[in-house]
Amino acid sequence: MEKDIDKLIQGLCQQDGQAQRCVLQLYGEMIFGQIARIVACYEDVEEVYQDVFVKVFRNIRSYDSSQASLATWMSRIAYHESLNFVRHQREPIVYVDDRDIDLESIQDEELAQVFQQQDEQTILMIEMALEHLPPYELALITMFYFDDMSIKDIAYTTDSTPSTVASRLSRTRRKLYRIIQSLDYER
Amino acid sequence: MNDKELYNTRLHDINLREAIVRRAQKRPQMPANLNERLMERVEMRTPRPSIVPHWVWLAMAACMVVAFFLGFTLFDCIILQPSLQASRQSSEPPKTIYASVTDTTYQDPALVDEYIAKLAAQYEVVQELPDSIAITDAGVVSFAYMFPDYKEVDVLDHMQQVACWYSNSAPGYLLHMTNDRLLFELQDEMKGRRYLWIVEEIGPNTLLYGINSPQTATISYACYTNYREKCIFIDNKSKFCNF
Repeated sequence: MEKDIDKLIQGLCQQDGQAQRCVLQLYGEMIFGQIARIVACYEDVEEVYQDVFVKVFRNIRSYDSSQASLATWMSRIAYHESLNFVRHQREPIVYVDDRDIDLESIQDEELAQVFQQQDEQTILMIEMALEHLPPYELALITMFYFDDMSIKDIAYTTDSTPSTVASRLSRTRRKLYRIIQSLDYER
Repeated sequence: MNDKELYNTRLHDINLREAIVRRAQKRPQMPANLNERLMERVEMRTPRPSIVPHWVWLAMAACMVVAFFLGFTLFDCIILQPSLQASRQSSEPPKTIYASVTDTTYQDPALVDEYIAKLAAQYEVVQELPDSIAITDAGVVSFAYMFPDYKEVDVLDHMQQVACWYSNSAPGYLLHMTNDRLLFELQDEMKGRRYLWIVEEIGPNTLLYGINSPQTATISYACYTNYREKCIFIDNKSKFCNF
């Protein structure tokens, strides 16, 4: 498998069309999903997707296999491209800012009750709450829960450190709890 | 929360995971032809190694050389040669055209007189050689034709065509014309003579006046003006008579 990936990377370095098609086949859907979870508009997702792979093919020589896998390296490009795109959108979207939210006083039991006891109503509430997260937090929590990425890989992808990622994940989880509380209160 | 606790939390946060999965599933799916479109875009941007056989490039290079050679030759023929000829003509004495009788470039000015004589004969116009204009100087010969009704015979037009027989680079070539007047001059370097024809519409008639003189002779136009005035006087007189 490793040899196959090395061969694939070698082909990419030579701008080989077959290798490029192979990469798209292997990682295309994963990258598309990652972008689609950050970028709202469908047409924009396609645009960002194409930009990501153009960058991947162009900058393949800068890929260092000792730092991360090829998939993680591409995820990193997709993450930054998606966030850059969202930041440069004409209409700024207002997200819930955690400066005014008291996160420290939330007890672990309260969090466990919402996130760990299967309940359809709560799942719907969480789904709604996710839309109130800023893109970078949504991307972070999705990478961790949906893509099952390691904290180290998330740190690499987001140009951060594992401790910072861990801290952000913890805060995002608490923030979601507060958003659910506020949504429940509004209802 | 340390890494181990976080991974443990991920295992137990079933509601959160389910919500994220559902949200992800609601996101648009990847279109089937997206990768094809992307590859088209990539292939357009990527400089590819040439798939054209080498012989095609060689053939194109050979064509370019031939085209360049032809272009250069044509340039030489069309642009340079006439200019070289012109420069030669301008640097050499104008005798070249009338160098000898056998010279094919020789154009005898006397042909104009022959043509005028034929034209006059056709329209039954008699050549006039009145004493007052026939000989005005040693070796100077003048003659005149009065063609009636210029609408019937356009002498101006005929003389204009005659002037076109001769190269405008011929020695002494001079052509000046207006609506009702034409002056045409040639010099015969071989015979050392000068030819001048003046055509002027006077009333309904056309006067054609010719002067043939040695090149060195100084020509006075007095004879022409006198004859012209006489014609005008006759024309007016005829008008009065008719009236």
